[in-house]
Amino acid sequence: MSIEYKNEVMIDRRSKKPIHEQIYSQLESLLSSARVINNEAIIKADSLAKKLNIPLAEVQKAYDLLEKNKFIKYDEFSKPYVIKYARILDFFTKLIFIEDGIKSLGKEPSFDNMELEIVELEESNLIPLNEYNDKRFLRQSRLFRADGEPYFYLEEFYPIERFPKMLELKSDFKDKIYWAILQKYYDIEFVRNKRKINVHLFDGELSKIMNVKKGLPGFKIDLVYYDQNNKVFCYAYAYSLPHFYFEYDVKL
Amino acid sequence: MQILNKQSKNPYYLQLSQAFEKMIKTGYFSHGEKLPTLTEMREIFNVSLKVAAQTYDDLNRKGMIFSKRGKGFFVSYHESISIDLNYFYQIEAELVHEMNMERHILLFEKVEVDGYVAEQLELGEGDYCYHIKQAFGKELKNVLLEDIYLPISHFPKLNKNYEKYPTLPSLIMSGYRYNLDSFSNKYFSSHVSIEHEIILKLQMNESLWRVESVFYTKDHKPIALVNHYLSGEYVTMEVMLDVD
Repeated sequence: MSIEYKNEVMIDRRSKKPIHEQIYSQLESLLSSARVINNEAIIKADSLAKKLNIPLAEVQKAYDLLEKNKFIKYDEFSKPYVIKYARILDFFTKLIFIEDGIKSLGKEPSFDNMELEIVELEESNLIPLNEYNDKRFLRQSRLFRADGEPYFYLEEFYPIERFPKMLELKSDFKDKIYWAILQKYYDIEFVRNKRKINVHLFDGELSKIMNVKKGLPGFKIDLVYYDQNNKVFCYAYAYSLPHFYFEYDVKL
Repeated sequence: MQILNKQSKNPYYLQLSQAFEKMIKTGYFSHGEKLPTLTEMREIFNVSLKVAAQTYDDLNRKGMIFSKRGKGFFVSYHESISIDLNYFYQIEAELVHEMNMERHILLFEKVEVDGYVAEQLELGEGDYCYHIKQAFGKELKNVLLEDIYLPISHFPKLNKNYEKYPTLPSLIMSGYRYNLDSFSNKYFSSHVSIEHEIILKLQMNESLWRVESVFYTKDHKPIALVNHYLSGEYVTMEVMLDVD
């Protein structure tokens, strides 16, 4: 695969958007497409500047940002290469206890509680609502951060019908982990979960929360949590960053 | 257009809606695509506006399309499959045997391997590989595009044997008697590029699965490298996991 970069990057000189931002956003979506592969050489900043007839400083700025965001890397001769997927998402250990996963990457985990509320659901493609008489669910959404950077967005739904105690939870419970409460009052232990993984494109609100550009591809994971009696006790949606990938080996 | 049959017992709207249903299911109109407006329908099929409206009403009831106020009618139907992550290597067999899809070989060539492919297949520079590009689909709609690399040294006379085996695992195991032992798969979410736009009939700005699989034999030698491309709308991966 070879790409004519000078044809890929279009500069609009009349636009109010700075030139380096224009270059960056176009290269970002190109590098996250299937057209480039890992470890492929990419055009040098100075030759791109020459071909597009723009100052080197502008292109260099865009390249610096690409390097910072782990889209490209340089070898010892300062030749740039594509790194396609810098972040491995280890679904099978790290998604269960996200904070442990972030710690294992050598980063400082933290999370923001975005919302905690009781919602009445009318329809859902994840939750089989006809199994519940009470359609109220405790919805908790959290944004996990690694070194302060958004890393993972998680939205959980606990059925009120099964856990009426959840209605009493006040906002000062916000930072508590619900599984501890479930264990204390309902003797429920998290044993297994079922995942359905889709690919999706980041859109408006979510791209703002995760601080990524609109239209970049990532994973959307539907989770169903089972307790020790093999009964469902929670449903969740999770969204990964773009440029994650995951590995899953199979032995016959 | 010769769709409407005056002698038929079925009313015009039903004939039209059945024709549209077929076109949507075979991928002539893909998910999210805009359908002709009512007045365009009147001109294309030479029917009244009432019949055109009844057609879309019927399709709407079947869940094939949806309407946006002031925008028109759009296709909502899309077929989808779920694949267990533990059985991803069976995807070709599932498409061919369960869903009656056909394989179209788009490219069959010998190439000299370079960096990326050589690394994955543990080949030296200058070794040769068969590169096969193939798609699986039904009628107008392809759902899976594959880029396959098979080393020539492991697969002699492949060009004569290849078409006898409908799936790659069957070729490797029955055709060449290799014992497959494990698969290493990497899953990526990706953007649609021009190739996928044409072959998989996707639109730009749609999501795409890219799954990179390396097939290993019993003695842990890589024997095949396959890049799968699947429409994100079409495929969901599933897995059940216990917490240790």
